[in-house]
Amino acid sequence: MPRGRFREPRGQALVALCLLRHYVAGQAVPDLPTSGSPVVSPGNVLANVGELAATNALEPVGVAPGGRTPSRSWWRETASGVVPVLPALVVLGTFVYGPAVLVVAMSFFHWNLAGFSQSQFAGLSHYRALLNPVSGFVPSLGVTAYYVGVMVPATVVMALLLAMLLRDSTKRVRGLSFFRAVVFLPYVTPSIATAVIWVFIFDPQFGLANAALRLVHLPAVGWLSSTHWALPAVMIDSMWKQVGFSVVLFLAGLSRIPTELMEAARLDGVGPTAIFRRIVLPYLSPVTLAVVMLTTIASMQTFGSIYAMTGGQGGGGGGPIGSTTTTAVYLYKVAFVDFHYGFGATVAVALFVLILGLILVQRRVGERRTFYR
Amino acid sequence: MARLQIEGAVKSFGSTRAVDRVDLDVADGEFAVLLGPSGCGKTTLLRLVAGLEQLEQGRILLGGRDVSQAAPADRDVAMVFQRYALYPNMTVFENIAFGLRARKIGKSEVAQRVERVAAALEISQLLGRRPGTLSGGQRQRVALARAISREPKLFLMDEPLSSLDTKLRSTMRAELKRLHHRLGATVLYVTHDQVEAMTMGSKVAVLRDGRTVQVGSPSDIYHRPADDFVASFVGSPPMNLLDGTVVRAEPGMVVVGVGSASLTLCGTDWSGTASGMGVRIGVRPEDLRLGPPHDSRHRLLGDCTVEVSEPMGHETVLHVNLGGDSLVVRTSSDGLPEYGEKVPLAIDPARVHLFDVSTGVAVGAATEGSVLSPVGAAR
Repeated sequence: MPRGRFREPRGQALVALCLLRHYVAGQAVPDLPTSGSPVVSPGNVLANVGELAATNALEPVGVAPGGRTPSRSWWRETASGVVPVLPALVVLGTFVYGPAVLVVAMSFFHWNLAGFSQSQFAGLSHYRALLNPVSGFVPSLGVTAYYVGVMVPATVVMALLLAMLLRDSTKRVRGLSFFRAVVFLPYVTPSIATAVIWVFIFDPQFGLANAALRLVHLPAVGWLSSTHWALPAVMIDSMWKQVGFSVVLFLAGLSRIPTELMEAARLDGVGPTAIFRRIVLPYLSPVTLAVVMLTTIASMQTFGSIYAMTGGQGGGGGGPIGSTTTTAVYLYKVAFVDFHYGFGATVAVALFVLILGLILVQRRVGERRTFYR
Repeated sequence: MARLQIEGAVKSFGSTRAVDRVDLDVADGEFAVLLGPSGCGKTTLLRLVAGLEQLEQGRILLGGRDVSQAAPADRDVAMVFQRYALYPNMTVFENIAFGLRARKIGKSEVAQRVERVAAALEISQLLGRRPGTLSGGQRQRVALARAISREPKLFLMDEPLSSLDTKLRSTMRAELKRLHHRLGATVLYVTHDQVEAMTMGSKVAVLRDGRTVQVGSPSDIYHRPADDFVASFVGSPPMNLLDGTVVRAEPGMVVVGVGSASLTLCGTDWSGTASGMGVRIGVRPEDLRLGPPHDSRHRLLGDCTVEVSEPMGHETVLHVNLGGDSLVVRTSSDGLPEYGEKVPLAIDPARVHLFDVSTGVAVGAATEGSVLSPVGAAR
């Protein structure tokens, strides 16, 4: 076999096709493609296409005569599929899936940095402790609910509004792509950097926020030092930072709406509000559902900006007096300020289950109201 | 219903003039067709009438009222779009009712109108379904029903049958025509399909490069094309065009040399011709005949070779070669010559059209009494 066979992009595409072939045909990859079944299914058709392409471009694929024992070419084909995905698999396994499994295991131990052998088994005691009001987990849920409860609807509304302003049909507006870039830019700026800017803006004496309030004759606010205003301040930062991504999703959704529909409605004398409500919104419903789910996940996990904006006294952020201690911040404090790794792992598992549950519910409820063309 | 007048309409997109000083008068209850190849400006003209595009110059009157500046909703026109433009998230009932409700028509009246129109178009059983579950023909009916239910002054139709298959298209053609008779509606209909234009329109406007080339009845367009573009665009297969020269021009008669023969053409007016002028001779495929002439009308043009044969069942279209020129002949399906066979080709000189070779404009059409003779015989 020529060694440099997959240097060509075409070769790599064929590898992907071969893997897909196994996947679509419903075979586990290690299964031997032995006797060719005459069943016609999309999977089989695709498999045939893959086989044909592989046969033409590379070399004979498949099965030894007789079709029972794994032939050399089968091993080659399998290796040709597995080898290219191996680096990604190793990285993901080492840094994502492995640690995730480890965290679940850790949650059942009074974890000691020396490892499992030195750690005392805790059973379900950490999970029981979660529900203990003293632990701080339950209050953190309240803060998280407040944060997510405001962030998700506010992001959807704000992103939709911006997308409507920046949509393709307003092409006549000069500098449309400039404004689009402006909206998207915060999303790709590191959150610590933006948080520092917002800390300046929310400075009680010299900040822009209070200057603006004074301008409209409103009383100044303590912002980050106030238990009432610290979380809203963080929300403003997060919203400003996150909304660009949702705007891009909505813009993509808007571009899918056939202009003929709007024109037909205009000719029928349908007003802009009704067009928006009866045509635009239904068309955007799948995108809206995606935005809701993605914003929910992002909000439940928000840590960087809260940490950077409300850190300082006591360490670990989440102040003042726990008013911005969301579950994600709480998890950090338990694990890395108080060094209760085992309990921290338990909070992490709880947060994961919570997010998963919420997303499943959203999908259930959302899909019934979502209109796919 | 109302009369539609378009006066000097102009519309450009960038440096391209899509519609260039177009005049068109559509009488109350008339079925007018805008016919032309793609990119000729016919859809733009329709959209100007709808108000979906803004006029640059000229004006549009509907029922005597200048609607050039009116919003689409205030023009009282209904449009049927090429791809139906049905609201996919609404049922058929809601699709039809949506526009009616927007016009503040009462709930019971809306329901009545929807049901009446649905019954007329035989889609009553589909009212609860969504457009995604309907066939092309059914969607077309829903789109029509939506337009009809509005009871507008003018119907605009933008190639409404182009997405249907051939069989359904011919059924819908007849149905649209029936509907037009029943409603007595004024219709402006855009198509690039000359069969649709000929069969449906009571008036046809042929457009090219944003201008009207000819406006007239289908028969006018077919039998008296204004120029060689109309001649070759209308008719399937298109008119044959051969280059020739005017040998002699006299009032009421012209002699044209073509190949090895000359045509003596009678007609009322050949004032556009002059001796020595280059002309294009147009003859419809049905005015050519294979085999020796056996009636008084046809005259022998020469021997041709059969190149392609397209049997259609009721007739056959033959592509033949006559001294280097390719010609199309429409003939009955009996006793056909074979590929490569040499056969005599006859022409009906009384059905010949002449076009100025430089401008393409028609300079006259022959009438009864025209003859064909070998070169020199006519002099």
